[in-house]
Amino acid sequence: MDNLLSILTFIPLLAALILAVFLRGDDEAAQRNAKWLAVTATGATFLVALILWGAFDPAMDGFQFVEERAWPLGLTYKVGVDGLSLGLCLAVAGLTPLAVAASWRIAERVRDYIIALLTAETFILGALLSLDLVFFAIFLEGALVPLLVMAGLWGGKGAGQAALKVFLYALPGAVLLIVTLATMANNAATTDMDALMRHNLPSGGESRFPGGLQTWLLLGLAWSLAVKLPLWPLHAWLPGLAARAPAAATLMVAGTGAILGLYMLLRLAVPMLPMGLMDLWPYATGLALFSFAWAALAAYVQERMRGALAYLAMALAAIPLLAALSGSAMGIDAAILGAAARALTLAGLFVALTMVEARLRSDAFEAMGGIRLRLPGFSILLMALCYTCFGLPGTAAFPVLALAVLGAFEAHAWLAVALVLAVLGLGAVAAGLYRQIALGDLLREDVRTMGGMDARERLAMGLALGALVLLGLIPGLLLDRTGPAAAALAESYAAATSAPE
Amino acid sequence: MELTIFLALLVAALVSSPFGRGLGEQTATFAATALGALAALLAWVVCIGTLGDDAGPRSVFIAPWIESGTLASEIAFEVDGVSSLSVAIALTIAVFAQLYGATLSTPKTLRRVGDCRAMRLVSSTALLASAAFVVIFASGTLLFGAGLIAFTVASALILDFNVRSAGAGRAAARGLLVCLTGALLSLLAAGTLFAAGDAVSFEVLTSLAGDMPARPVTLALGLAGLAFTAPVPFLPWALKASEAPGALAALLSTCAGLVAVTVFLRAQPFLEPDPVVLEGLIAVTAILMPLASLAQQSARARLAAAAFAPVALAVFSALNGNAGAALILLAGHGVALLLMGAALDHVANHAGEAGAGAEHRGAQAAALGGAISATGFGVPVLLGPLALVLPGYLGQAGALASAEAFYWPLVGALVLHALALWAIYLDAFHGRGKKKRDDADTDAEPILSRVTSGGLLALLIAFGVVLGTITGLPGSGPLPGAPLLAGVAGFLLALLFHRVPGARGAAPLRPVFEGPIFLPEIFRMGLETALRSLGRLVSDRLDKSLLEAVFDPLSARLLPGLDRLSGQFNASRAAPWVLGAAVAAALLVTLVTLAGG
Repeated sequence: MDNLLSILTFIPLLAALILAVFLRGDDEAAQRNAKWLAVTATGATFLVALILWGAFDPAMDGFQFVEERAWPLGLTYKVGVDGLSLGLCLAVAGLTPLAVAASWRIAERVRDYIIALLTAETFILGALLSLDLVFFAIFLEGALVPLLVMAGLWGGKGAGQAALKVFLYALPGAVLLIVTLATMANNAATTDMDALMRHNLPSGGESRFPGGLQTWLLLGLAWSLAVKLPLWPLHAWLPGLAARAPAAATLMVAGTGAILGLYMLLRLAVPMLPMGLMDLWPYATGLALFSFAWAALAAYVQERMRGALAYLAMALAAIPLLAALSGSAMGIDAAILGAAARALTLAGLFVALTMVEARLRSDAFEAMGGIRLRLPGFSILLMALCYTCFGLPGTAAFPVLALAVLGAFEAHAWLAVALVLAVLGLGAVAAGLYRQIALGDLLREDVRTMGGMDARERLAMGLALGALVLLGLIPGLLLDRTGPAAAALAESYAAATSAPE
Repeated sequence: MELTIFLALLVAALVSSPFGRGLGEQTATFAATALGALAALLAWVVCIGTLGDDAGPRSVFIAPWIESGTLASEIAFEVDGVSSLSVAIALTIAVFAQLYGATLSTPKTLRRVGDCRAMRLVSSTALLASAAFVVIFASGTLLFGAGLIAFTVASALILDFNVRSAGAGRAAARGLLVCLTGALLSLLAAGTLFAAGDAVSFEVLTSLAGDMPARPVTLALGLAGLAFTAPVPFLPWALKASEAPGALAALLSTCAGLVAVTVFLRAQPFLEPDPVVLEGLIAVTAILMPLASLAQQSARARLAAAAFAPVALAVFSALNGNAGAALILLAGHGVALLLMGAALDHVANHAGEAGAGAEHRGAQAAALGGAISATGFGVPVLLGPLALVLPGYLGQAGALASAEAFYWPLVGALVLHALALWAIYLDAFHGRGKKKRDDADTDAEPILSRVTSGGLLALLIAFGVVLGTITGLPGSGPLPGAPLLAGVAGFLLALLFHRVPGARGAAPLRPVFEGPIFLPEIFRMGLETALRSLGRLVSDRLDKSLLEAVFDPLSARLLPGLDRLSGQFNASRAAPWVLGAAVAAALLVTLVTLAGG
C-alpha cells in the first residue's frame, strides 16, 4: 500500500510507454490491441482507485497514503489523498474508460491517440494527488497538452486551429498560475501544500498570507480556473473544440477541466486564500451565475448536438461551483459529488453522441427526431441522462441538488434561490435536448432504419447511468469519505472569514 | 409491506419497459399488470390496517440516505390513515388504467400487430404510481422533493411514450418545466425549514412549526402545490397534455390531484393562517374549466378540461384541512374519469363520429356510470339511497362543507362541471351522426373491458359505501343536498345545451377561452422568443466575434508556423532520438518514483 497513489497515477503512463515501445503499425490488429490495452489500463486504474476508496479511512484527519521523496534540484515528490481528492480521483478514473469507449470509432493512428489519452489521465490524476506546488503545477497545466494533441490531430476540419485556440486561452492562465504559486512558495518558504493548507509553515512566522496579498494571489489563479471550468468570458474555446474534435477529446477536456477547476478552488483558494475568496466572493458568484445563464441560453438555441453538449457542459459546471462557493460542508460535499455526477452524465451523453453520429452521419438535430419510436431503450437511457442535469431522483444528481440548495442557505438565501433558478434553466436545456433528439415524428428514412446500440455502447451508457444511480441511492459511498474533509474545510473557512487576522 | 409495494411497482415498470421485451409483449404486460394489482391489494391491506389502528402515524425506515454536515436524511415512509388511503386510491386507479390500456384504450388493430402500446402504457403507469407512492409516503422534505421531481418526470414520460401527437409532446415538455418549478420550490421550502429547524423530517418540523418563517414557506409550498394543480391561468400545457389516452389522462389527473393534495396537507402546519389568494385561484379554476370544456373541439379535450374542476375542489378541501373530502373526491373522480375516458377512447377507435357510440352498449354504460358518479347526481330510481354515498356526492359535500366564503362559487362550479360532463356524454352517445368511419374497427368491446368496467362500477359503489360509513354523510353547507341539486341542474342544462341548435360547440365561448384565459400562453411564447433571440446573440454573435476578433487571427498566424516546425521536426533525423529520449526519461522517472527514490 506504500506506493498506491503512485501506482494509481502512473499505470496509464506505463501503458502508454508500452504502447509507444512495443506496438508497431496501424493495421486492424494493431488498432484493436491498442484499444484493448487502453481498456485494460484505464480499467486497472479504476480498480486501483476503488482499492484506494476501500482502504481510505474516513475517520482519519488529514492526508493518507502520503509518499514523500526528495528529487534532484531540490524538488520534492509528495503525493497524498484526502476526502476531496479521493472523490475527484474516482470520477477521473471512472470517466477515462468511458472516454475510451467513446473513442472506439477512431480508425487512424490509434496507438498515438491512445498514448495521448493515457498520458492525459496520468497528468490529471497527478494534479489531484500532488501535495507539492511544483508537481501540482506541472501536472495541472501539462494535462492539457496531450488532450489538445488528441483534439487537434484526430478531429475534423479546423480541429488543429480549435485546439490551438484552447492553448492560447490556457497559456496566460498557466503563466499566471506559475507566477502565483511561485509567489506563494516564496512567501511561505515552502512548496508543501499540506503545510500551506494548515497554515503550519516551517518558517514558523506569518501563518497566513496577508489579506490583500490573498486577493491578488486568487486573482492570479482566476484565469487558469476560469478557462478550465470554463467561465465566461474565457469559455469561447469550448464550442469550437466540441464542433471539430473527437467526442472523447471534448469529453476529457470538458469533463476533467471542471474537476481540475473545482479542485483548484477547494485545494488552493478555500483553505489557503480564504480572505481573498471572501473579498472576491460576490464577483465570483456573480460570474458563475452569469456564465451559467450565458451557457444555458446558448445551449438552448444550438442546432447541433455537439454544440448543445459543449454549452451544457459549461452550464453544468456552475452547479458544483456555486455549491463550493457557499463554503459550507454540505456545499463542498455537493461540489465533489456534483463534479463526479457531471463527469458521468457527460460521459453517457458523449457516448450517445458518438452512437447517433455513427448511424446518422450527422449531429444536426434536424437529422434526428422520433428516435424514441425506433429505439425506445436508447431513448430511455438518453432521457435519464438528460434529466440527470436537473436532479433526477434516483441518480447522484438529486443528492447534489439537495445538498447544494441546503448548503447555499448557510451562505445566503438568495444563493439558494439562484441555484434553484439555475437548475430550472438546466431543466429547460436538458428537456429541449432530449426533445430534439428523441421526440417528434419518425419522418426521416435514416432514423427509420438506424441500427440499435451495440453491446459496447449499451455497456458504456449503462455503466455511466448505473454509477449515477448507485451514487444517487447510496450517496454515502462517496459522502462518507468526502464528508470529514469537507466539514474540516468548511470549518477552517468559517473560522478564517469570521475572525480576520 | 410498504417496501414490497414499492418494489412491486418498480419491478412492474421495469418488466414492461423496453428492457423487458425479452419476456415477450403479452407476458411482460400481464406480469406487470399482475404486479400492479398485487401492489394495489397490499396497499388496501396497509390502508385498512392503518385505519383500524389507533396508534397514530407509523414510520417505516428503509435506509440512511444523504448525510453531510449537520444533515442526516433517510429513506423512510410515514404511514398514517390519510397517506395510506391516498396510496391505495392511486394504485387502484393505476391498475384499472393498466387494464383499460390493454383493452378499451387501445385500438384492436394495434393490439393485433403488436405495437407495444399496452406494454408502454403499463410500464409508465407503474412508474407514475411508484413516484406518487414516494411523494405521499415521504417522511422528510428531501424525499418529498425527490418524489415530486420523479412524479414530474414520470408524467412527462407517460406523455412522451404514449401520445403520438407532437402538440402533446411539446405540452409535456412545458408541463415538465412547470411541475419542475413546483418541485424545486418545495426544495427551497425544505432549505428554509432546514435553516430554521436544522431538520428535514416532517415529524420534527411539524413540532417546530410555530417557529418557522411562515411567509417564504407559504409562498414556496403554495406555488409548489399549485404547479401540480394547474390552476387558471397556468394550465394551457396541462389541458393539451391531458389529451392522452383516456385511461392515462384519468390516472394523470387523479395522481396529480393526490400529489397536490399531499403538498397542501404536508404544508398545512407551516402555511399562513388564511391563504385566501390560493383559495380564490382554485375556486376560479373550478368555475372556469367546465366552461372551457364546453368550448373544446374534441371529446378528449372536453373531458380533459372538465377534469380540472374536481381536482381543484379536492385541493380546496386539502387547503382547508379536510383531507377526507379531498381523498373521497379524488377517488370518485379517478374512477369516473377512467370510465368516461376509456369509453370515449373506445368510441373514437371503433366508431369515429359523434353519436355512433350508442351502438357500443358497454362503453355507453361505462360513460354513464362515470358521469353519474362524477357529478354527484345519483339516479334515485336506479340506485336509490346508494346515490347519496357515491364518492362524487360525498367528496363534493365535504368540499362545500368547508368552503365558507367560497360556498356559492363552488356550488356554481359543481353545476358547470355537471353540465360539462353530461354534455360530453350526450354528444358521444346520443348525438345525431351515426355514420361509421370506413377504417373503424367494428368489433365489440373486449370481454376484459366489460369486466373492467363492471369492476370499476362495483368499486365506485364500494368506495362510497366504505368511505361513507367511515366519514358519515357529510353536510353540504347552507343548501341541503347541494351536490345532488347541482348535478340535476347540470344535467338539465346539458339537455338544453344538447337540444338547442347552435348551442353545441359553445361557439360564443370559444373566443373567451382562446383569449384571456390563455394569456400566459402568449407570455410563454414571448418569453421563448426572447430567450431564443438572446441565445442566438450569445452563441452566434458574441462568442463567435470574441473568437474571430482575437483568437482566430492569432491562431491563423501561429498554426502555419507550428505546422512548419512540426514538419521539420518529423523530417529531421533527430526526431526518433528525441522522442526515444523523452520516453526513456518518462520511464526512468516512473521507475525511480515507484522504487522509492
